[in-house]
Amino acid sequence: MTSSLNKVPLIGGQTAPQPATYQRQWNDRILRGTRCDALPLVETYPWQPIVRQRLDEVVGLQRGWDGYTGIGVSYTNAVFAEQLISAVCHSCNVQPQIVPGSRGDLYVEWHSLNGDVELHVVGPYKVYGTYEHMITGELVDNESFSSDFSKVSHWLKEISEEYSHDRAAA
Amino acid sequence: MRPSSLPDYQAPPLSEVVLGVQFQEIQGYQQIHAGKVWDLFKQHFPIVQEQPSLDKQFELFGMQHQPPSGPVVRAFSVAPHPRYWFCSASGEYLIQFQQDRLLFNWRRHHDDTLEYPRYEQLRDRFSGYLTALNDFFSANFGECLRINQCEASYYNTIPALGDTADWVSIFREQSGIGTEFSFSNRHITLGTDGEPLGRLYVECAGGIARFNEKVLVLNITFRGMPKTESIEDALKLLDVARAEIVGKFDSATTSHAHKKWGKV
Repeated sequence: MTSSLNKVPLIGGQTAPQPATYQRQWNDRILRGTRCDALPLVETYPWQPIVRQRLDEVVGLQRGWDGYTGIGVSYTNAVFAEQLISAVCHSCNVQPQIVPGSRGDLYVEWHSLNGDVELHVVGPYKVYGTYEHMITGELVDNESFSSDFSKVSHWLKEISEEYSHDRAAA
Repeated sequence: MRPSSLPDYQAPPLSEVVLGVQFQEIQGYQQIHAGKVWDLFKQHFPIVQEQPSLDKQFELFGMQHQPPSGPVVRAFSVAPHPRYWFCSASGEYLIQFQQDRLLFNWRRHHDDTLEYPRYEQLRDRFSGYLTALNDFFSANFGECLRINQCEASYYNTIPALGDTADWVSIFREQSGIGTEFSFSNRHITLGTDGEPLGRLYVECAGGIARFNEKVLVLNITFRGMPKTESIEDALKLLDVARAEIVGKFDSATTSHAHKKWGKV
């Protein structure tokens, strides 16, 4: 009954028939085995290619890169960080900086005239965030996050928007 | 044991069910060890196929939109590991394994006479496979499975005789639509503490199946992070996923359809 429908391995690996319109291009390319190289990457922000390139670099760091026993950023952490950045940046026009940690971890940092947001990605769903707003003086240090990053989205919105001193005083 | 509050059907229109987990990569594990993993399952899954690997996927919450679902980091420094399909001789059952995933599929596989074996049986079998893989990693690499995401997917192929709206309540207000339609949405499932447990994805579309038959494809997937990285908590989240999926299936389909499928 289902043999003439597309059979595509989406996330989760199902082989069941799929709606023809659902990520067809992506799935077709998966089927042709050209998954990573040929796909047009989803670009949401102009700086996204730069971030991806940077993530590639930090994943490829060799042992001892820091002059001690540092290892490269784990691929899992890099993927998690990239998905996190893409998700929280809808309200932010500030380009994030990627800084490798020495144990496979990494830091994602946003710096603007309004303030700073720093996320320490220790592992998937294991993130510590620090936030400082220069105008309001608000400071959050080392707050723990797992899967809900709504507060980070808010922080980024705060540091990226035009800030009036009237508002800060209010 | 099936919760009594869950809707039940004698003949659900399922064509495939997938239970799966994503886990942290095991230090020291390399692709060359995949044969040893197959040895764990070979007796009942004698056929092997290679497929492109699945990208890592994390369900994140609190944002107004989801991250793009395309490929993300192109890690040239990481050698790709294929996704192995270990298939049962009949093709009805399938284990999918890659360095950070284990999935278990039941497929009707072109045989409409096959009876859906039910979630409880699939869950028990998947639990056994997870334990076997965990024991293998523990014995050979000194690491246990650290599960960071679970997912369950139910794929329904509904032979839609007559009006689409007779089968799927989503289209009740739009009778007479043809085969060129699709619908998708998603929503967050909250735990008792108000924190997100996971996200439910619903996709429905029309299509033409074998023998030029008009069908509706209704796919429902749940993904989320288990409370801890243990197998036990992963299975608990799969139980939640199953309940969410079955509940959504029930609400998304019509009483006419329920009658045809023998709703108990």
